[in-house]
Amino acid sequence: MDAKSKSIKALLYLFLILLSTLCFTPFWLMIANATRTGNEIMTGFSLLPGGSLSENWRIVSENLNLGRGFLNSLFLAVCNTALVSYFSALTAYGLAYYKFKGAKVIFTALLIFMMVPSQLSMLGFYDLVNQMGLIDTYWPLILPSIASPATVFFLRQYILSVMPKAILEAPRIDGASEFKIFHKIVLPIMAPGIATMAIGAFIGSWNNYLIPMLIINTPAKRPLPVMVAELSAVRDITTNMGATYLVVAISAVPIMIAFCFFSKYIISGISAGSVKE
Amino acid sequence: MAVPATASERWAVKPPKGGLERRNRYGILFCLPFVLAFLVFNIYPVFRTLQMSFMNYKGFGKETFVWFDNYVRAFKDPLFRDAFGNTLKMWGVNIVLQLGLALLRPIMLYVAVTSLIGGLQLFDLPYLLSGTKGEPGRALYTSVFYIYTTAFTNHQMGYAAALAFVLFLIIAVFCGIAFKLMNQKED
Repeated sequence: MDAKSKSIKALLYLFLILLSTLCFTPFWLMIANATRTGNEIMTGFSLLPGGSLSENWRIVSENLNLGRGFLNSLFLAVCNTALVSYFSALTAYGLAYYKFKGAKVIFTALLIFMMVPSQLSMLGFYDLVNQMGLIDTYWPLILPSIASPATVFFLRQYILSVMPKAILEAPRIDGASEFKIFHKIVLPIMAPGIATMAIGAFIGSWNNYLIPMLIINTPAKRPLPVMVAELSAVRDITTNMGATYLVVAISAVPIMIAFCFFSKYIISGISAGSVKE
Repeated sequence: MAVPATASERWAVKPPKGGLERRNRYGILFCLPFVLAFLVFNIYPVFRTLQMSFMNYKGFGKETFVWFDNYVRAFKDPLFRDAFGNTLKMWGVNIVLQLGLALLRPIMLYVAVTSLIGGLQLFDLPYLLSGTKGEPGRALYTSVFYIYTTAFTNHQMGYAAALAFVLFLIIAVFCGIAFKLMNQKED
């Protein structure tokens, strides 16, 4: 390696270190602020942790049932992830490998609705839930994940690129039912693609704020993000600021753990669709 | 003597008549849960929002048809204009930061458009930061934020629906311009 490419490499590293510091600082600020009082946070900016962790924890445990919120969020995230994964894979397989009337219509509608922004459906969705009498239940937070257009689209492209149609001939000649073929052959082949989408679904559900806030009224049923918002609104912002940071820091832990284990899939999820074939 | 042209043709298993079609019915079955949920939770809400945007509706009780009143009001609404201005400002800050990193021209345009759309839909961050009121001085009041308060705090569901569609049209126009520009660059 000559001197020139070495210096380029050094520059690149410097740039990357700078970028990662830039990304990590807010994260660290969140952790540091979780240990400071609201007054300290409002008046000054410091990267050093303060000494009010236990005081913040006291405010949190007095106002919120954190364990309950955690379980609520976890329950919703697990349900959503399972439904998104299974039904999107099923639909993607159905669209990609069977010829039937309406397949094209379904695919076109799906493409169009991928581009429709969520606030167009938000009000109508709330009204629908209201008319159905499902306000303050988990159904409207879980059932819509059966239809996830973007996931179906991704998985359809994925399965077309990894599975030749010929694979289906052997089990068909052996007399396997179509459902059995899907569960025993197609699903395992699709697993990496499904994993990528599942992680996205989990994180999306975990961070979802607007829809649960609209629909869930009973405090005990609220997922974590809605609880956090409630904390900052209950009393004045100054006293609860540190406590809010503490809850936010705690609620970020599962996402960080998920990232540690599945970073490979998360990165392939981000670059999904960027490669032209 | 008619000899099959290739080996694969000779050995190909002929499906029984109608067998293939019967199998294809499973495709419909596999797509059915998705289609049902899609109709109920994706397509219906959008049309319901569109319908509400022509109504005087509180979110409960009676609905009266008012033609384009909500839309006329949206274009005259100074608060909506402010909210839209704030959205554009936040987008402006965002784009300066992002463009510095994307030095290639087509990508720059792409980043500009996607970040604008993201910005137009920005809601939870300002909502939480400002303690749910858009303070300080309504500087954090974004478009979606305004739609939200109109619908759920002021109970003007129909008007909020019209605002949502106006916002969507603005986004669509921006997208259209961006696509045009991108296509020109490629020629």
